[in-house]
Amino acid sequence: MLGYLRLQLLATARNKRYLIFTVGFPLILYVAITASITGPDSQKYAVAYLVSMSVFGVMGGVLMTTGPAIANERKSGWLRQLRLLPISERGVFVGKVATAMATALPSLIAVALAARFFKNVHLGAGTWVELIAAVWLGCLPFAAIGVLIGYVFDGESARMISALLHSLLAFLGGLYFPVDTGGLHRVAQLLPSYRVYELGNDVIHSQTLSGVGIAILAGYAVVFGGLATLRIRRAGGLTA
Amino acid sequence: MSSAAIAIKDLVVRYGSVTAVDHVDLTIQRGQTVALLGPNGAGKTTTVKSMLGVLKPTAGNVTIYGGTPRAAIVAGHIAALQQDGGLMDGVTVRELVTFVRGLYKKPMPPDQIVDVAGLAEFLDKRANSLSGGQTQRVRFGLALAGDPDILVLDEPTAAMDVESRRSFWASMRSFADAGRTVLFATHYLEEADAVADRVIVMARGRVVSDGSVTALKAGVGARQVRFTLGSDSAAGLDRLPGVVGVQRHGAAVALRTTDPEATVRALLANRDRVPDLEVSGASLEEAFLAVTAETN
Repeated sequence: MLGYLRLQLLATARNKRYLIFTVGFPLILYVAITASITGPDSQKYAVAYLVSMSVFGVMGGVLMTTGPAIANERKSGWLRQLRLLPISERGVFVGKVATAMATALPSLIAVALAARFFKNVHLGAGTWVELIAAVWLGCLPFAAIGVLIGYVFDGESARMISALLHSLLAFLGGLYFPVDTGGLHRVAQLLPSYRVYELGNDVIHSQTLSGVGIAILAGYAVVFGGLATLRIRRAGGLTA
Repeated sequence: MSSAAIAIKDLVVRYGSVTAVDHVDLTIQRGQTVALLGPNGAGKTTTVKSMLGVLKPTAGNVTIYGGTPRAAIVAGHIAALQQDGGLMDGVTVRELVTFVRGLYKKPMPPDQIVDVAGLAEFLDKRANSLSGGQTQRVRFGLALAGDPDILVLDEPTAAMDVESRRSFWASMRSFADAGRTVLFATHYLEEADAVADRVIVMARGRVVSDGSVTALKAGVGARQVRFTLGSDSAAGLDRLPGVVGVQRHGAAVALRTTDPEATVRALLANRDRVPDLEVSGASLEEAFLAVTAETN
């Protein structure tokens, strides 16, 4: 298991395109958006976009390292090869999720550093740690969704669907601009992206974490994790 | 305790209404090098997959050293080489070998893997930048990583050029010479002829022949009598004593016969000239065609 994680991390760390998109993009967005907002409320936005861009980055990183990569490995035959080795299907699944989560951390830290040193956002040390932990763990459902995408869709469609889902969830989840009212809000409340964002905000504003939010996130993780597991099992016997 | 490396009992695999493997029984003893031959769709790959536990049989079972295939994979008793497919992106051959060795309790020493599979020249190259032949060597190296007693190969040389194929089989022979069991599916008859000490022929999901290469050739009985017919008609040749088949190749004709002596006597008695007369044993290809056609 650890060997597999190590191997996967090595491969991801060498993937320049991944690093540019998943680490660079949220960072640039954060800096650009917050720089364009001036006036008395600018500090408030610096904090709000710290949370939303952290979620945006981790969600993107997790979705892009699971689905497209798995679809590629199914096509190339590497996953079939793994099945002939003493590593279980669960081991591969856990390895994929763990890799995605681990490789999404740098973007989270990059956005946090930009907030702290570029926008002078001051939070207590404990709050920083809690924020990072909440956003990071809150994005676990996206890893399950990503694995499922990788097993359901092939090559280019897996990549497009992951990218589309990322933008859609970011937009509807209120990561680009707030969706606090109306029909959009009702939709947002059902989405994992909104719920992670809410979790991060609760941490920053020292509010009690939303139980409903956590339950919805856990629900997404369980449902999509379960579907992915079923799909992996079914793919087991008949592929190639 | 049975000493069989692989025991297949009454194996049946159906995909929907298609029966891919139809009641196959096979026992492979330790140390044998076995070729599994057959035309496309004969059930070779399905049999191999059942052997590795990646496919659940409809009925019957496969045991490796008395246990399940999966247990044998985990214990490093058996390893397999597929016919093609890529390796993981973004890592070197060395990193892949290290990873796979790490999955086993008693792996083969890295130097030995590099040596037997012939990986030295591209050990630090990215695994996905290699040629087809090199990729297959890496896969062979990964299959060796657990120091297996049994190696199962499914058309291992399908993606290789002639030179890679030759050096691949040389490596394979040195592996088999160490007393290990090798089973390979192939449709290259010359590979079976050169490497295997036992040839199992499958057709339409069944085993139609099982024995040594010599026995397979002899089993079809027939020998071949060949001569140049020129523009003469081949009519009547099939009524000569012993003749079971007539095949015309341009100006030449080949008679398959169960009694070459009687056939030749009759030929010489009936014809003024029998130019380029030649009597030979059946080739493996003819033997193969004969046994796979019989069950039609």
